[in-house]
Amino acid sequence: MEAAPSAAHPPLDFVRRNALPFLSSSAALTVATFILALLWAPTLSQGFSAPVAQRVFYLHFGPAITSYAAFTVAFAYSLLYLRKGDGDADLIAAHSAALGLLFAAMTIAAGALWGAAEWGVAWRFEDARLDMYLVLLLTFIGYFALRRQLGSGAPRLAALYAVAGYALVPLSYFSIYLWQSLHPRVISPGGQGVGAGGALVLSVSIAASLFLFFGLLGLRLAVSEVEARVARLQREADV
Amino acid sequence: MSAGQAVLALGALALLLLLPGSASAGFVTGSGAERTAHLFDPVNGVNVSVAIGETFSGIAGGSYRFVLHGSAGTAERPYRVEVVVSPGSETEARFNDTGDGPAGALNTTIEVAIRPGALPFTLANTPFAVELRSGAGALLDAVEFAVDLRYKEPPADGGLLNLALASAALWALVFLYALRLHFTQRKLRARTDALERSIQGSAKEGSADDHNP
Repeated sequence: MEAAPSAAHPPLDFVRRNALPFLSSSAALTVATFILALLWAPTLSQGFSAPVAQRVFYLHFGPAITSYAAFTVAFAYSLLYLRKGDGDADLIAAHSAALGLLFAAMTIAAGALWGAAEWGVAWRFEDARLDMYLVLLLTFIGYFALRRQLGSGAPRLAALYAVAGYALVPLSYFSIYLWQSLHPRVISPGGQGVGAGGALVLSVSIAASLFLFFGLLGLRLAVSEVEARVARLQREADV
Repeated sequence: MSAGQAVLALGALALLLLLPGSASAGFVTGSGAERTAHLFDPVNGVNVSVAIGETFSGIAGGSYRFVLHGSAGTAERPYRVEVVVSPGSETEARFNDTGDGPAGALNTTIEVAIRPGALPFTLANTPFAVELRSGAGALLDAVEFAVDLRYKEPPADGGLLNLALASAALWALVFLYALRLHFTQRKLRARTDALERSIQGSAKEGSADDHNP
């Protein structure tokens, strides 16, 4: 990624300049999430055969929501790139999609830990939500394969691909309503809910994940910017 | 579609509707630990409910409590209830018990116990069935579902420590990645500064050379 993000995207510029505060806040919130989730949150015994393992839910939900948010940012900036041909937008979309994959991997890992305890197996291919989320992950892996394969001609096609692939985000979210799913419905309509204590832990977990996303996005944008500057200076030095 | 094909399709549909369906009218309601199977003997006005959790511990064993609900016209008759593991397969296992049904609008219960160690497997989605049979053994109703069989001793803390360690390792990896990005950025900034100094130095040397005759 040679392009450097310019200051034409104020919200992202803010994120780039404040990457470390975002990461520090996320670290503090993550520690709080662990303490609250594992030691304080109410145990949801109803409908769970491994109620203790259910506490992983608090470490699974934040990354899951953040992965959707990251793919949404990738979608929005891909659209922007398609409309205006802005190279920075393409760069931001690519970084967001990469972080979306990271958070999706965290979601799946935490879910697998819970599945192993609750179901006895880490993954169940007969579950619509699990499969749809895996397809979403593979689709965005395909986004990077496409970029890598096509080289300089990739951004436009990759942006189109990201916009089309984004349809899987709502499909993944609503899959537990559309199809028979073993995935628990905890906070969804018809679910048992988590109560006030659980809601607090969920909020802290979501904030920890979102701050981590913004911190990582800011750092990746900053690294891209410095990489581009080094390349430019290197050319000047060579001349 | 031609007219002939349409007639054939309608005929097939009519046959499907007219042919007697499966005798099974049983169904399952609820989910998780609240899951319940419902069976019926419509001739005698008896409906049966039995709680069927999603998991079964082979170590602890367990029991299935069939509650037989009678209606006003229900006559007292013997019933046999069965729990079938892997129905129809080579490894099919049956557990059953017999008891009298209710007389009138009352409830009676028949409990089928599965002793500890009778199902020594850890297997997700194992086919299970519960059946309602007459005292003579004729099948009246059945319903199939799936159960996760467990044959592992859970850790004393319910696995909390393992989960905490695995989750902490996962998040630590992501924060290490953030740290790596931060140091990459610092390294690149140092390189930028070095390059800028080098370029400025070259420029100064160039301008000094221009002023020296």
